[in-house]
Amino acid sequence: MDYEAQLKLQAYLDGELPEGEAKEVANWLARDQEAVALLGELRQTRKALAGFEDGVRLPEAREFYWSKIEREIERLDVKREEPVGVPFSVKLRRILMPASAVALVALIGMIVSKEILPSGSAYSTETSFRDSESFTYHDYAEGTTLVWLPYPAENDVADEKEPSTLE
Amino acid sequence: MSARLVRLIGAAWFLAVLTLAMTSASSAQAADLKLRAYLVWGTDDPKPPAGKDYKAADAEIEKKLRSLPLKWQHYFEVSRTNFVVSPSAPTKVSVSGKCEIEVKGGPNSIVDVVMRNKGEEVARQKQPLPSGQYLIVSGNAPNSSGWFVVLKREE
Repeated sequence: MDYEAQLKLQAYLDGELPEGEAKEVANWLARDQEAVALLGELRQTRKALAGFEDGVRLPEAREFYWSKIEREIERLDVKREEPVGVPFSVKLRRILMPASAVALVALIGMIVSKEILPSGSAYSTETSFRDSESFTYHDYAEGTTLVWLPYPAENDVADEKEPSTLE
Repeated sequence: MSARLVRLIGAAWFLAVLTLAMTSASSAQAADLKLRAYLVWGTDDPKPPAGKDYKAADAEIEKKLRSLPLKWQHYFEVSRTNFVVSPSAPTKVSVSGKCEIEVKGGPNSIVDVVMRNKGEEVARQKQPLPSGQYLIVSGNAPNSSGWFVVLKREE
């Protein structure tokens, strides 16, 4: 017998079934001995328990007692939903922590970049010539810049003869 | 969060701000630059002209000049000068009676070199000159020789 059938028998015994279902159960009991036996057991069990069960007496009226419980539940629910204010110091710390990490990383980056990059390396060179024969030559490997001008020197370094050209 | 950690965070911020301030100050300040200028004569003759007591250029200067695409075999030092340049006070280095260069300092090791011929500006070169690097201004000289003003940053 399945669980649903047993529950139906119990409900039949307690008089909780509608009239139609009660008739069905009665017909079922007329042809099923197992169901009759179970019904008998259930009846015996109820009879046996009837004497031991002592009704609980409430200190006040039933409705008033349960409404008190209901009000208490509602009060606790409201208290649980109330938002807790976050202190300003906590908010400040939440901002300071990641900001401090970023500041520290930037600080380290600045120190490292100053050590790696020679000062002024980010500055581009400016050159201007009046004559097209002038030019600039950079030797980055040697760290040397040559600026060539088409003007001869006239004393100490040279004499009065015509200058020759650069190869 | 413990008080110790809060103090640590505060110290990190203070250090970051202090470093930033010092870096900005050092970058903005145009420090005076110590330079040395060599006046050098380049020639294919193994000896200087008669009557001229020029000594051979320093090995370091000669090495720098030989690393460039120049044709001369020998380099003689005519003179050398130590000087300090600043943005407010440019220094003039005379190459000849009518040719001179004017050197001015700037922030971040910048040197601003103006070349003048007969009082007129004919060229200008503005660039960083970190320690150990050279800026050489040069030109032709009579008798197939050449002149060089070698600027080197000292310090």
